[in-house]
Amino acid sequence: MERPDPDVILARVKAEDNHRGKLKIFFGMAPGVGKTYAMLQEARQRQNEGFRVLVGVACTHGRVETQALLEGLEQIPLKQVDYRGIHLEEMDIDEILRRRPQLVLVDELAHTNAPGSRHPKRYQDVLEILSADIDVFTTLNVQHVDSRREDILAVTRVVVGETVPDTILDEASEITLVDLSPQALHQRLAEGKVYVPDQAQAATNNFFKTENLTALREMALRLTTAHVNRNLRSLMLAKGLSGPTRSGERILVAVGITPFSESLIRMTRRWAGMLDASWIALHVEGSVPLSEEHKERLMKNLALARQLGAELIHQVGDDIAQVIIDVANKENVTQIIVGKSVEKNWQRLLGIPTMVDRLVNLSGQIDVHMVRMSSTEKSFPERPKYLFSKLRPHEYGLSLLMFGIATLVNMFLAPLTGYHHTGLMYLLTVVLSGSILGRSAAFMLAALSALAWDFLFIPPQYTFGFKSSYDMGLLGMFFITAMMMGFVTSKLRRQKEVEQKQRLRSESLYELTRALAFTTDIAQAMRVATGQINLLCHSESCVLMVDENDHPVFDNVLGDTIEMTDNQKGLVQWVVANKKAAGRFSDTLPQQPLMYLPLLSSGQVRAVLAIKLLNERPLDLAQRTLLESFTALMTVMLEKDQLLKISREAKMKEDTQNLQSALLDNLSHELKTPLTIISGYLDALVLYHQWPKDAMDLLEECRLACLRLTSGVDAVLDLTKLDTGNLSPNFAWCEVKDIIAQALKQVVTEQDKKRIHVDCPQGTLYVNADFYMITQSLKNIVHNALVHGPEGEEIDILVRIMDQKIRISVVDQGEGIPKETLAKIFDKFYRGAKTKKGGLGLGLSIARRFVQLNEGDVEAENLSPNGFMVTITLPMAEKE
Amino acid sequence: MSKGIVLVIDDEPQIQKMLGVILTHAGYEVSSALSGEKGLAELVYKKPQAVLLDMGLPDMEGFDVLLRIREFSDVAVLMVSVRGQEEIKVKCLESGADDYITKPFSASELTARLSAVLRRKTTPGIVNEVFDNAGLHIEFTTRHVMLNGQPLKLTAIEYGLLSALIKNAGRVLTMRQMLREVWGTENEEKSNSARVYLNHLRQKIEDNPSNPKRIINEPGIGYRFNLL
Repeated sequence: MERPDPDVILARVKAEDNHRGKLKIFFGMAPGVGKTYAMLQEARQRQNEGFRVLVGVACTHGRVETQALLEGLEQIPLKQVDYRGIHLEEMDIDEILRRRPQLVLVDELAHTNAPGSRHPKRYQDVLEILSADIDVFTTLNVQHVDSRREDILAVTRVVVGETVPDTILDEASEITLVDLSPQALHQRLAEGKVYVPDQAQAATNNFFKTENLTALREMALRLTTAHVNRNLRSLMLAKGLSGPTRSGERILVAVGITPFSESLIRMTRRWAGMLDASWIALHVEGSVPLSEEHKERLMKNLALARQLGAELIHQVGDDIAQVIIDVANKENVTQIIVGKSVEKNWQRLLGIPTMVDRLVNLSGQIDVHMVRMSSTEKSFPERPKYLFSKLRPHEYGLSLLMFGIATLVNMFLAPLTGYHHTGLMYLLTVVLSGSILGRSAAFMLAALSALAWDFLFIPPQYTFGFKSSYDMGLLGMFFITAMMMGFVTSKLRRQKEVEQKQRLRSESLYELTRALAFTTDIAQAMRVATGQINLLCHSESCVLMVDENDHPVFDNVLGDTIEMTDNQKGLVQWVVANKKAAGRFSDTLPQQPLMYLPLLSSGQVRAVLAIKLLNERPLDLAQRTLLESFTALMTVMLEKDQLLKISREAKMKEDTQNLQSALLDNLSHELKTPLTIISGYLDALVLYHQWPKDAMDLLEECRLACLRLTSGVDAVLDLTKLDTGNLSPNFAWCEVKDIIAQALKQVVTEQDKKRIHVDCPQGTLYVNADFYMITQSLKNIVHNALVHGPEGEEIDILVRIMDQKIRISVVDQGEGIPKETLAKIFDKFYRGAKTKKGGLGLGLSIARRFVQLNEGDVEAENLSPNGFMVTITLPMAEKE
Repeated sequence: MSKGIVLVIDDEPQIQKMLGVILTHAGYEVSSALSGEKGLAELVYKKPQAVLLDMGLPDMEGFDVLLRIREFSDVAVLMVSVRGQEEIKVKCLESGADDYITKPFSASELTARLSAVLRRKTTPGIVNEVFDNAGLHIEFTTRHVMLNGQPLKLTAIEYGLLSALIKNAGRVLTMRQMLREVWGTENEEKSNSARVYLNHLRQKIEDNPSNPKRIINEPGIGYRFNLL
């Protein structure tokens, strides 16, 4: 029996009782199979079962039967959006979130929203709705699934514009295939029941060919099966059953600038899905810089990889095969996917191993899969072979200047040393230019120098001819050497530049870490961080802190001051609520100029980082990775600050408690000491001296007064301790009869004692409570009954057991308390209107608080026809 | 004839005077000290039979004074404290104090406890073969117990508890001390069982178990056996 994978179980548990809605996709092979119809049918059924169902957006395309199903379902009006004079209608996500239905219908998952909408794509809207704990029904065609794009293209020759990533299929808890045979679909087409946009008429005729439909149907079936399999697998894993699992596989694909990289990425995604493996997209940055176009293609490829679920890794190096193997070994990769070129490679012809060959040689235990691609594409993530990049004017000038100087010098040297040595001078110049100006300058100079040398210095002078073949050979060697030296020095220079950039980045990370480690002032830390970010990204940035109520604080901004409109402020609030990035380069409102990144710690957004880029250039992978590191550091800093605050508060609380405790002890001592003295002397007077009767009576009165005063002092001290939280119960098993006896001991006069009757069940009853507290409570309640009950009338103490609880009730025969004031009797200092004798009014208040501290309660009720009952309820202690 | 010297360690002169009156009337000679340090010195000079130690001294914690006393003397120590602070009382009782009394107290209570504590101190180790008090009769050698003339059957544990209490009659026993004597353990978790057994005992030997006169519960501290 296979050990259940704890991560899988946890994910399942989270999925089940997490506050996340469930997604059901009505999946089909082509438009017109009846997905919307099926969705509406099921939605109506749900509504009949009592669910609150709302229609977010439903596309009936005028079909009558589908339209009919909409009857009875409430539709949320579409949001009207105007974009450049064009009138568009989009689903109103805010209204849906406001209404909070249990289920919302969102047709056509692959739809692209109008520019200016919250998310660029409808599936992102759906993700947001799901995270608000609202279930969603949606429809999707197989052609819109991202990983199938190429296959669709191959089969139907239709380029699909709108796609959804496969991750949304994984997100779905249920995928229902709405299946229809191609013949049946043709029938419906003929009947005009299928919606087809007018412009695409010709293409759709092509699209609906039987062989196409069959292929699409198979694809749809396969995808649905894969989803079932995955569910089954995770279910089996969760239950500990051994299933077809092949976890532990990790796939690596190298991403480059060619369009073929895109196919490789999608293919890797499919593989990863099938093998249930995680996958890595690796980009190796070489020392040669990329053109803007290539950079953009690269970013697109990387973004695609990330979207499809890859882990992105960025490395620097020139030996691509070696770098790949190093990364693969480090990341425990089990399979590498590369493209294989079919055409004859000149390298192979010469017997020189290509990069792919090298990769295979170095791969060791790792499988290398070579994927065939079309002949128009090149094999490897390619280094763009730029022999000559454009030189800037001043570089031209400088090269020519160097050339001029060299020639002049040579003119002087030639008569002295002979013409051979002048070649060396030119060589020197080429080397210098290579290291200062780069490859192109070096090449240019090499060519120029060769010509000049030949013309000016090699005999016969001032001709391009050669006197001796020796010289010709020399010139040839010179040229080759010059070229190579130029090449090498410029490469060295490039490498140095790249390393320089790397070092700067490491340093900036180090600077930030150091600054954050030593700063205790959070404001200062954030300022340092924004400073570093600005250096890295050429931006202005600021940090907005979020208070305990999840409101961003706009007044006190740390870092640069960035003006924000109300809309932008609203976006900041969205980021706080949804814990996701927004703005530029994100999935939400990406056309906004600023980037908004949440800084999360312990699942809460503590601050929002806003970045305004000063130039239009998007951030490259290295910058983004570094930015991620920065935000991680800032989050740690925020966490540290939070923890410091908590510990400071706890310390202060503890100090306050201690101080209060000491003060109370002092107070207690100060009040009790004189009482002790008085009562002590009274005792001495009574015990050790003889007095006439009236004097003894006086002394007795004093004694009683002393007792009363003691009682009052005790009550006030108890209350103070309760109020300041300095009193905690000493739990121990107490016998109920014990408690009653102790409480009654404090009843002062004999005649009062005679009034009390105790009715207690046989045997011993225990409660787990603080003996002193319960006894005091009972004493207070009894005292209350004695005082407020009619003179001389009976007081009953009844003990009953009910539902594992012990109830001690004190009943007097008085008229009770009017209903309005019944609750008030437990208030501090409350004394009833009819109270004749004295008293602080604290007794019942203390009684209830004591009992509540012991996990019980005190209640009062009027009895009919007359009588008043106050009951202490305490949980019964479990007998061992 | 003096019953012995009692050293009163308390920083309040008024209390000193009041205690002096009571103790003198009860037949004791009184010595006084107004601070912990002075008390320790007086202890060495006067060699009293008992010490009344106030827990609220300004210069030293009562507990620390107790420890210092116990370093070199076995004298009977009675703690004088206010209500509350049960943990400190228990701590002191288990570190060598013999009993405690709570302010405000009555003179008779004080003298009763004082004599109980002294009696225990002056007759240590001599366990009378027979205990007889107000109808309760125990022969320790045969473990024979009689109440009001009738033989009384006690379980082994009940007997253990009763004899522990009686050996310390008049003095308070903490739960821990009782557990140690009867069960041989200091495991606090057993204290609930102990309470149950004590209640059984009460049922058997008290005239009115709901209003016990012999086995008195001192909440938060322990139990005391009163001589009637």
